[in-house]
Amino acid sequence: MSTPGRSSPPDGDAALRAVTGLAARLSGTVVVGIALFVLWQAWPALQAVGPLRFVTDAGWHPLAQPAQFNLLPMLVASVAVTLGAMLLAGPLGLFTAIFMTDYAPPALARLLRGVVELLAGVPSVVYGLWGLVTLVPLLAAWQPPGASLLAGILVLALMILPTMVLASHAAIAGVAAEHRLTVAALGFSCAGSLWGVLLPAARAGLCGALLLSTTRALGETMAMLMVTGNVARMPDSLFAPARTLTANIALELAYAMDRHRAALFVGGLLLTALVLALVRLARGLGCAWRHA
Amino acid sequence: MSIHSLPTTTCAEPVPQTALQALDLTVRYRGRAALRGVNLTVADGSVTALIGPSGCGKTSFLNCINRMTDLIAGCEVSGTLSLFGEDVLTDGSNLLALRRRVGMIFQRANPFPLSIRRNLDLPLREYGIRSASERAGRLEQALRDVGLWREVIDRLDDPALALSGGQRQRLCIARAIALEPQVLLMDEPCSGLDPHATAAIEDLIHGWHGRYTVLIVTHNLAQARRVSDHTAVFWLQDGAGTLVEHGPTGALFAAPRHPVTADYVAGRAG
Repeated sequence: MSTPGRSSPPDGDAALRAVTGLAARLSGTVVVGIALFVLWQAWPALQAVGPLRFVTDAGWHPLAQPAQFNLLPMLVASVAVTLGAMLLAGPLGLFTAIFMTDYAPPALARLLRGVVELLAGVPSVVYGLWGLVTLVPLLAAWQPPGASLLAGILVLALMILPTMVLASHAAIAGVAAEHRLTVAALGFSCAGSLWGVLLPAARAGLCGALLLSTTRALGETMAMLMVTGNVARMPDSLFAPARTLTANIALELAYAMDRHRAALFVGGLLLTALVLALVRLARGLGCAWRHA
Repeated sequence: MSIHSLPTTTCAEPVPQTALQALDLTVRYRGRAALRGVNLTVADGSVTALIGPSGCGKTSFLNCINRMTDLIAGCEVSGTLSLFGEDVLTDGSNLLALRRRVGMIFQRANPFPLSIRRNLDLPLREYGIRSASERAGRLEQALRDVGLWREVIDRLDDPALALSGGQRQRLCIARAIALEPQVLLMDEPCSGLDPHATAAIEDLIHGWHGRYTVLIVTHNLAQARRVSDHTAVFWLQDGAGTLVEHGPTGALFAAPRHPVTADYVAGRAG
């Protein structure tokens, strides 16, 4: 039995401090560990081939003699599908979230939320399957071959839409109730309060929503592998087949050896660097908007 | 706009215009009365203190005047309430226009998480003032009126949330008066402030006599005596708040007519 003495609360404090500290250290170590592991695995290729050839070689032919290691087409494809998907899902998700928070009757808002959560729960391979058997044939009938950047963009947009909606909804709904009261008391119109106060007040959360959706899109592998056509060539139009960095790793890692394997890790390193750059960019943007 | 004069006058001075008149005003939340049968007439340009214990309908009364009650689910207002002769409670009345005529200051100073400049500029813009120079002029005047201009002149683009509590509240007041309202509703505007900041806000209220019609909810009886011309005492009766006594502040504190007022102002109840 514990007595209400001096020792029990500090004991609890010490335990909590130890547990949280351990968890934080573990999380940090794992992340840094993975990044270092990727760098370590990529190192032989960076040493033997040189970093420059990963963007200047004539193509991606890791098994040819001499081998070629141009990752640029895959990098471009990854960035293009992500950018395209964000251009579609970003505004769509934001406006859906605004409608859910500020305009929809409660019953409709609940229904919408349920549907979006369902969408978030669908595994990516199912989206890929749908893209492969429904979307790609439709596109093929219009602009062959169908499996293309555009197919990737459309499937990816659908996949990140729930993340975008739910995270923006949380950000907008989280704006302090007092700001809503104040804008009402000042006689703001709905549009005025939304653009002038509520969205700026929610900007940190909205930045987070964008970042979360973008990184999710960048990292998506399975669905992209199924609908983009996987041709490791620089795409010259939206209808051209392409291969993303993620799909490249998934496709070739099973049989890659030596320098080829290390070259795939260079792709992983590129992805990691891209995500890091995005996080920095988002942080910069968040700061710039802070006092707008 | 029609003009109503006070029903009875005993002095020879010009009759002040009636700013606000409530007749049998009742507020219900989900069917339960929170405020019942309030009759109150407020003269234009006067300062009225609403006093009484918590939960007796003072804030509900304020919320009726700019129809903030509309934002509360299950809230129902009956009776009549007119502002300079215009009915406030009818559905057809222009809510945005009403809220621009009636400014509101909340208990917790709540500047938007934007810059100081933007906090004032945004409502003016929303009010339809297109000219940037006119907005800048009004911004400066409002900040001067609340005595904040000198304190913030070199940091107008800094975040408003970096201001101190008293400065924040004065910024919120500036934001309200920049829209040139006729009525200011103040819901315990000083309850979170230190005595120095409180004195600054009371000085402002003193300076507003004849300019704005002020209704101020306060739990600080000394403050009610200091700032108001009239005092309205709210009390809980039969489970709902109601107005038990209303009159000139000096007379009400010196010779309260209602027994609960007497106990309350003497510190024996509430």
